[in-house]
Amino acid sequence: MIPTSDSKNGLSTFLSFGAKSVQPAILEKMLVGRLQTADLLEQYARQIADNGVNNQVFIVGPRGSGKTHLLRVLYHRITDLVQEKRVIVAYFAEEEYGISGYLDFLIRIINAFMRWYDVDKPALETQLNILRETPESRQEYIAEKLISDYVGDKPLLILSENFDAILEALGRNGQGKLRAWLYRHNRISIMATAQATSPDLGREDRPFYGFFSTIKLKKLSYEDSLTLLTTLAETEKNEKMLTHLAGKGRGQVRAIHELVKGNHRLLVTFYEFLKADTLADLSVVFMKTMNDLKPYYETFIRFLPAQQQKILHYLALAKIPQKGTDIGKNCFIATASLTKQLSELQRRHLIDALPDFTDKRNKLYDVSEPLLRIAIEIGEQREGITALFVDFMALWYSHDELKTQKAYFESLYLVEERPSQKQKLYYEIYAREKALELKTHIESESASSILKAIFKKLESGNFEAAISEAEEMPLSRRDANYHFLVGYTYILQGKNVESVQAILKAIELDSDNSEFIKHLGVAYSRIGDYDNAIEAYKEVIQADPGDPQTWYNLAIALHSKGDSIDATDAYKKALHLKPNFAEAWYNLGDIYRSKQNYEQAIDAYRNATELDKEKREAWYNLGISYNAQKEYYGSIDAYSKALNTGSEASVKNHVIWNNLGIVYGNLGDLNKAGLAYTKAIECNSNDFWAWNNLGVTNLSKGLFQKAISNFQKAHLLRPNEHGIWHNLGLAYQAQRDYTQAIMYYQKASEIDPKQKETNDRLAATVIDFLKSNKTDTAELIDLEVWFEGKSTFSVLSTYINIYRRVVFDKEEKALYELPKEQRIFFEREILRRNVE
Amino acid sequence: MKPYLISTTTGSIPDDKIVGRDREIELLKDLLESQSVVIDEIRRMGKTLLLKKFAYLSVENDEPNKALYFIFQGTDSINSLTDVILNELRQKEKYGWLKVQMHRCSELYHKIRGDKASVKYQDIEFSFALPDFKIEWKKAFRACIEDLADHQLAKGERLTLIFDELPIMLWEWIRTGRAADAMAFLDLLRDLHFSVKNSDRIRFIFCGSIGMQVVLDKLKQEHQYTGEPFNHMQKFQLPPMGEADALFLCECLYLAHFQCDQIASKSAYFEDIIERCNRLPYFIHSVFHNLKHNAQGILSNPTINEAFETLLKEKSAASDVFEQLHQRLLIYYPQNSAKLMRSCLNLLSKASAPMSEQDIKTALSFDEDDVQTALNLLWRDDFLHRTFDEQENRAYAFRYSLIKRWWKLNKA
Ligand SMILES: Nc1ncnc2c1ncn2[C@@H]1O[C@H](COP(=O)(O)OP(=O)(O)OP(=O)(O)O)[C@@H](O)[C@H]1O
Ligand SMILES: [Mg+2]
Repeated sequence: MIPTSDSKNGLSTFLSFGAKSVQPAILEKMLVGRLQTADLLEQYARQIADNGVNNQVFIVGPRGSGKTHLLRVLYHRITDLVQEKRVIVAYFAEEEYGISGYLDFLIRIINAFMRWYDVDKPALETQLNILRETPESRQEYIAEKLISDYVGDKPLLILSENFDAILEALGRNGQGKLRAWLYRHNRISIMATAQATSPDLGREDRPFYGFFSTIKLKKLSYEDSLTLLTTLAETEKNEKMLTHLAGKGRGQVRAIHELVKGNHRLLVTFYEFLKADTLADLSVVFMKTMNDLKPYYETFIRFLPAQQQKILHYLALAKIPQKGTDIGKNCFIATASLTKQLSELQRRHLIDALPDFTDKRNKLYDVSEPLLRIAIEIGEQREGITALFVDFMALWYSHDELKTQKAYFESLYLVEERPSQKQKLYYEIYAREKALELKTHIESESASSILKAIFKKLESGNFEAAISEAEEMPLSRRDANYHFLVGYTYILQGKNVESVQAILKAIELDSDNSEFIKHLGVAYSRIGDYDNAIEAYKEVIQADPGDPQTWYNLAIALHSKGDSIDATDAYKKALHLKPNFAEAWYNLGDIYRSKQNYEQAIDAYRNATELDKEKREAWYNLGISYNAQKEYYGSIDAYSKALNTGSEASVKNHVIWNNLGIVYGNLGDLNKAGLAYTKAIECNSNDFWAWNNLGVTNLSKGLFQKAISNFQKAHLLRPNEHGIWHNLGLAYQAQRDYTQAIMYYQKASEIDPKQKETNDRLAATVIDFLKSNKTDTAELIDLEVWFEGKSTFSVLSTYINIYRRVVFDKEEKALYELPKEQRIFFEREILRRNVE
Repeated sequence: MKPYLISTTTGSIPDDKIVGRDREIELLKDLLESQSVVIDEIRRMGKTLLLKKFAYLSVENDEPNKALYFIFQGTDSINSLTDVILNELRQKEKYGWLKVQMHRCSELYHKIRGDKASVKYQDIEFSFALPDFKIEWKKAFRACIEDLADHQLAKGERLTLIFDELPIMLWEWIRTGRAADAMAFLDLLRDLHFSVKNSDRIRFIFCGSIGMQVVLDKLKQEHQYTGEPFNHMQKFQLPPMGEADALFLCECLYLAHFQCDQIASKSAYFEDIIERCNRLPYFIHSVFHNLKHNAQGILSNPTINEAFETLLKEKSAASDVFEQLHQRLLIYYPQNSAKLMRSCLNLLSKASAPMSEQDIKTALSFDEDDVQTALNLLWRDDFLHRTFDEQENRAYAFRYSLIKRWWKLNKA
């Protein structure tokens, strides 16, 4: 039962040859999924004619996605514009080949004029003859001029297929000339199609960089596919098919749609599939379809250079990816030209290059489209159809689908009585079985290559890429190790929640692997779930108490949870098992230091630094601990070591210099302290503490101006820091600049009103100020206002008020508002009167 | 002016349809009052259209000081360069406004090249020994400029010659082994300025995307070139469009069959689009193209957002244009400095404010002097914007936030 298609009028031509020579009306009808694009292109063309603009459009779609179809429809739709010469169109048809440079391109335009505008042909012929006689160096110029003269003030629209190939043939120089012409001429538009975006449009140093607006032809959606097939059935007037498509045929359409991956031309070819009544007929239909497809694939193989054809054949028959060297040997192609041919084939999207994990310098090559491979195979097939059909099923059906199909035929087989039918069913079962075997083989091949790919990505530190490789893994191949690997990658990537999930999956499949549990602990620990982490580590320890690393991890989890007693024990266990465990010593040191147990901290840090002299943090913390123990020379030594080691991972040089300054300060060596702070600032001019401390040092040395400018720097860095305002106050007070000092103390007190030291100093300075006899009314009133209502300063506030009235308003009796003992103090200390 | 329809194309636009740029044209004219001008700006920023409009308007409005536009792309030799210039001059002469006293010039030219009239001589240029030709060629070029200058003087006017894509032409010459020609031409250009009588009647605008400086660096490093041909020229930095121009551009594009979900929101949409495009016309066109192609030309908040998502995240002509900073590093700079420059850009793409030079140095594990040089180059070649913070330290940021965002999403 071989289904045949009844071939009628334009449709059968459409089915077997594509859009080239089909009536426009049919093309228009079959424009499924492209209607919008066609409308848009028509709109563009009309804008060129009606609105005096240009349009430069580049339409990209893979083979068989309906590009020729689209341009044909467009050309047909704008016939009116062409005939009225409102736009002059140069339409390059698909089969034209042989552009060798810019001049050729121009001549092709002239040829197109001659083809589409019959009346002008003789005149153009004459012109071409003149062009032939022109010296070579002037030909391009004359050709351009010929075209401009022909077009006159009308816009020129170039419609072209395979424009990527044309650009390539033009080369950089020809492209440059073409672009220059487009700018000189002003009214040239190009609407062109191509199979792939051309590399010539995507590079900054290429003339047409970012010049065209690209339109990518979308793949057909399922709905589009259904509409297209229905339209075919309508055109064919096939009532039975129409009913089928409206009902149970939909499932089949979906299957076919998946099969052809939204490709127009393949979809049309697979139309025949729908006519197969049962699954059992599939193999027959399959062969027929493949035979139908053969000419289609052959057309674009035929135009390839012989060497490229040879390579394709070789790869198709080899079935699995091949090394470049093997291809060269088997096809008798020398290395130099092999490289070129391979990259050419890749550019045409006929083959893919895959990484070769066994040899990093090599690549593997494979045919891009499975259907292409099968189509080539058909020509060579000797073992009959079964092998091909098995191949096909393994490629297109999933594991489960194949199993279901097999079970279905088995059930039929059991009840079938007729021997011939039984035999037929047996073949079907056999084919599925083989397909399943093949599929398992393909999957395990791909599983191992995926694993290799993951490792490779991990090696190069590209974790994200590793994860996306992992997502390619067939579901049937995701075992415990796989999930663990994924979890591990997530840990590396810092995605700890995902990591926990993945490792839990691994443990679900294999609960005995202590490596999994250990890493589960790590992942838990990273997300801050210490209880679960501790539990996991304890489980590992129970099975193997001799692993220092696990003890160490346990200690960290305990430590982070705040259980420093158990953490100390765990660190000690780890150190007992591995006395040279520098990290453990270091962390132990941290615990002691946090408990202010500096003596033991010093021991631990010293062990850590002895084991790992490059450990900057350890030296640094050792310095801190020595300082806390007032062992200043030890501290200086440790800090100096820190300065000279390791990378500045977390403790930056400026922090260390700053601490050194503090130690020198504690030793009373102000000069060295000052130098250290200056160093800190050199390392980082934004170190607030260094600026502040330098200020304090200078203040102690009596260098007030310097101190002030240091504090001001610090102040810029942290404008809201109480201490800096206070220190500025100090510096001004030391210089007896009372107004300034008061102002800074006030600010400090505003930021933190509870600082007793500041408040006391403020009060004292105000008193000094009053005593100094350098006040004036305005300033005093300001002060009054500021102090008013501040309970800490109630006495002071009264003093100011009374001072002003007595001194400036000569209101002597105001003195009597003070209680006696205050009045005596006031008169003697502030007004400096002699009172008994 | 009333908005007129223009298409969403990112290719050539007819002279009379180029939008806005009046402010920039005035600025250019001011500069040209006193000297010649260089425009280096990365690709697709609107250089050519600005210059074409400038030239077009000068003729259209019959201004006394006119400008002439030449494009040198694809001009692969000194011969064809002379051709391009003389062809164009002759063409303009035909239209009537340009009167060149071509005596000196055409006499020489015909002797060298053979024109239509002398077709019989066939391929006559081959009969010239090369050194001879070079001398003749320079003479011809100089004669042409002298002719032009004299004529302008007689009329009391000044003529501006715009050489678009001059640097890429020179770059291609260098790339294909003709550095000597490139240097000769550069020297000639400089020499013209100083030695032609009445040379101030002629001004030049040299325009291109790779930067004259990059070409000169290459010549200096690899061909011991020592000339300083552009010292006497002023650099003009092409800004993004002004707000009014950019809004007007939207109005014009909108006429190409677009709609709003709510017509009241139209101007809000336009403002949104132009700001997110940093008012760069190329990207405005691209966004409208996306809207047309993916959303049936309907403007609404969601469709605009999607158009920008597509712009920034999908591979297309526009995303290629974002690639350019990255590609330029690979094409025009030595490998190791390109790597460092890329690190700088990665870092800056993630910073929320301009970063001080010191912070950049601290954050990168490269030699500090090298970092400083790299930053300086990136600034000179218009990748970065340079400012000074309160302490007068140099600080750097991406020049365009749109490109920064793309870099962060796709490169860093
Ligand atoms: N004034 C303008 N009016 C309308 N569109 C503009 C304008 N300026 C720039 N554009 C848009 O930006 C695109 C690029 O402009 P143009 O060709 O002037 O850039 P360019 O800087 O010369 O680019 P290249 O370096 O590639 O030569 C134009 O095709 C257009 O889409
Ligand atoms: Mg340009």
